[in-house]
Amino acid sequence: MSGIAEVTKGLWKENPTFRLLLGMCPTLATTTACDSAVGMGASAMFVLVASNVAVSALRNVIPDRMRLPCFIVLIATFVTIVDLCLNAFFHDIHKALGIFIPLIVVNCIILGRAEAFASKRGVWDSFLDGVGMGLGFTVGLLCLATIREVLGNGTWFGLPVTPEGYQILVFALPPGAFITLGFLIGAMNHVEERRKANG
Amino acid sequence: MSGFAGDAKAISVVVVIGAVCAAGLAFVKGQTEGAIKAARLQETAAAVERVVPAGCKVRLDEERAGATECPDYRKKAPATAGGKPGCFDVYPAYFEDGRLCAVAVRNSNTEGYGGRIEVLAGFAGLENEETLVLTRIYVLSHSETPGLGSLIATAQDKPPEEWGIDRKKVFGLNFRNRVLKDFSFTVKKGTEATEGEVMAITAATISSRAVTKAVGESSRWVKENLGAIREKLAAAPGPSADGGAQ
Repeated sequence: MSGIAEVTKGLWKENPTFRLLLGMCPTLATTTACDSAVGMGASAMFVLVASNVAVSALRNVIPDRMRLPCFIVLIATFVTIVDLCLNAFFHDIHKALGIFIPLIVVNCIILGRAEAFASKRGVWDSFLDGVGMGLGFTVGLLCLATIREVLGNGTWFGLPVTPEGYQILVFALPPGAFITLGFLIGAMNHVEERRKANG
Repeated sequence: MSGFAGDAKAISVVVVIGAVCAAGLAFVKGQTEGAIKAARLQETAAAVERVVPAGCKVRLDEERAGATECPDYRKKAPATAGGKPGCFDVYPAYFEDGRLCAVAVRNSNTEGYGGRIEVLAGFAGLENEETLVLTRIYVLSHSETPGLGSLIATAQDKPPEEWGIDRKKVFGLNFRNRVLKDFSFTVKKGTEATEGEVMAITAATISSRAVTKAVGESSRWVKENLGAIREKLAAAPGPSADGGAQ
């Protein structure tokens, strides 16, 4: 697979949010506002790229039966680095994301890519896979957050877009996350089916 | 590879990876520690500035930011802290000439609809009980339902001049410039609340009660410990980054 294809597969064909349905917990929880969605996506992307590269580089050193503890230690290290750096330099975003930053450790996208891709492929391919999957996750979160923030809160990245009193509260609440996600997955499947039918 | 050699290799790989990761983390922690502390202090100072009257200068160092252990006069009575000894954090602000101008008191409880809420309340007129005024409150953190309970924090980042007069829309108005002796910390639902009572946010009575309870505790504590507060915080801390007052 070419380098570009490694990146773009994460955006559409194997999009972690809408096609693989991985990492649903932060997807549902952090998409109430666009800036926290981007913060979450960027943090996950950094961890994903770093852990993919590290796992791929060490794939011949790590004994097969010890791979999960090793992967988790590596992932947890990168997550803690993100946690500390966000706390120090982007304090507001750190506050908004709260517990979801430490929880990136158990995000199934990251362990999933380490196990299914990076432990079998070269460093460069794993890097590109991490970038693609990270972008796909970020774009997925941003789509969800845009719809939820505009409809639920009347703002986009904090800028007012709809007049006061025209907000639909449910979109800011957990049910709104499920409803929006369902519609987006449905729309994506519809487009994909049309695409297949047309050859 | 099997047997002892295989086990030894597996163990040593895990140990080496663990050690390298730990060393990396120690380095990052060292690099970020100062910035994290500064960011926290900055955050607290910004919130304190909101609740004290304009013209009071907030001057925090780590000790005044409540980072050190809790002296006796700041301890909560066990009953108000649910059996556990808690602590009121108190942040002073000073006049230009270095006299104590106002204090902000941080209190929290877990009685919000979504759990823990943390409220900062400002108090001025610290000369005696008669002049004591609750200036403003600021909700530092909460996890109340967005759009309902979260209204406890409505408009608190805007200047009070833009708050309007609707106490059911801007909860902070209930606590703005209140003379404590005329003020009861009783939450009333509906519209019949009198001037001195707190008007509950529609559909968020629990959140309203939790904030009111925290503010009430802070107010009673300030009232009872006025002498100690004046004595401990009388003078501005030594020369600080922005010039100091002494």
